Amino acid sequence: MNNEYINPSNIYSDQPQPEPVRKLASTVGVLGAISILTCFVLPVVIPAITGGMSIILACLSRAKHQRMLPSARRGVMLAVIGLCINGAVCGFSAAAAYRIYNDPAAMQQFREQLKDNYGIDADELFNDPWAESSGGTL
Amino acid sequence: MNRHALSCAVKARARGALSGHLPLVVAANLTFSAVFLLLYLAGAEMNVGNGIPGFVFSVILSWSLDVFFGLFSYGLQGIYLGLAYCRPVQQKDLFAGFSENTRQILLMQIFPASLKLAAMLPAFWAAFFLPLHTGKGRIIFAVLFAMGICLRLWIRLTYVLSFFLLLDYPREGAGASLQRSRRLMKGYKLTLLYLDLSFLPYLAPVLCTFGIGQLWVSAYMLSARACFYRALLTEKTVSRV
Repeated sequence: MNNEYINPSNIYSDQPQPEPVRKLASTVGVLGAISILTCFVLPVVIPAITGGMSIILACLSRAKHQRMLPSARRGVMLAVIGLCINGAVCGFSAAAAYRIYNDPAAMQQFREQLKDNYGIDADELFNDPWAESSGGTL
Repeated sequence: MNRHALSCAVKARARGALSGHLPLVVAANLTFSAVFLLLYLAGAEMNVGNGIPGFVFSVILSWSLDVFFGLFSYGLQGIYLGLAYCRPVQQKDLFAGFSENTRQILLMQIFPASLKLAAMLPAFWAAFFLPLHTGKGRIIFAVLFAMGICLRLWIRLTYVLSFFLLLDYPREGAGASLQRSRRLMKGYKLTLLYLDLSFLPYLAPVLCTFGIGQLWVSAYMLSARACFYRALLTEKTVSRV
């Protein structure tokens, strides 16, 4: 039986990691990636693709009639409304993130909240390798 | 018939021609785009160095690829023309340019590709030999670049029907097809431009689908162009009678 226990300090050390730690790290990484994908990316990407495709296919399926069928028109309207809401939410989130990023006081508050609530050091988390020469981190 | 009415009629006919054949044309477009992308990426991967020699090499490479892609364009336009004529078409028709009229296609593609390259030469000259850090240099470059783009558009609109003509009249050869395309498009360039621009609203759903929808939209556009060619041929024949 493997008696190795998981020491949190091992995760950040330069020493070769014992097998269970590496397994745990990779599992956590995969779970994190899935959660980011399902919570943030997919709810934006899937409605955008399906909405856009429904509009294109509805326009193409008009056949020789100049006007679209009422049901198809309703579908297109719904897709357009969905896409507008989606775009507005994305735009609002991006604008909020941009404002925080450009405001040193808000950024400092964000760092403190990360440290206090989650124990995450922003300097380590968002270390920018391209800005290292100028000593810049997020 | 005015521009808007002709555009609507042509698009309605294109939708009719595409109905029931969308999977085939989308697969053909996908193959065409994949080959195009692969060859351009392979070209971009070649490290040709900086400065004028590298730039000249990249221009020659781009021109060669433009000529080579005539073979695929011929096959792709053959599929859409076949659908416009309600003829049975197959996926392998995309490669028809490699087995029939290959020499004619390459000869025919050389002329517009060279003209398009020549249209951009003054802008290229300005980019290398004018001081672009000064306001005057920038203005001259911008004017020459805009003129080059307009000339390219004019050349494209003039010779856009040449492949359709070669497909319909294969015995007439490259020169005759180019000449007939020029004659056919006389007075109809703005009509075709109007037709092409009428697809601009589709840009929004194409962006939403991260470019995937372009496969369907370009099928619609190419089908509309084939139907435009048919309508133009009929109109010119009727007016001659």
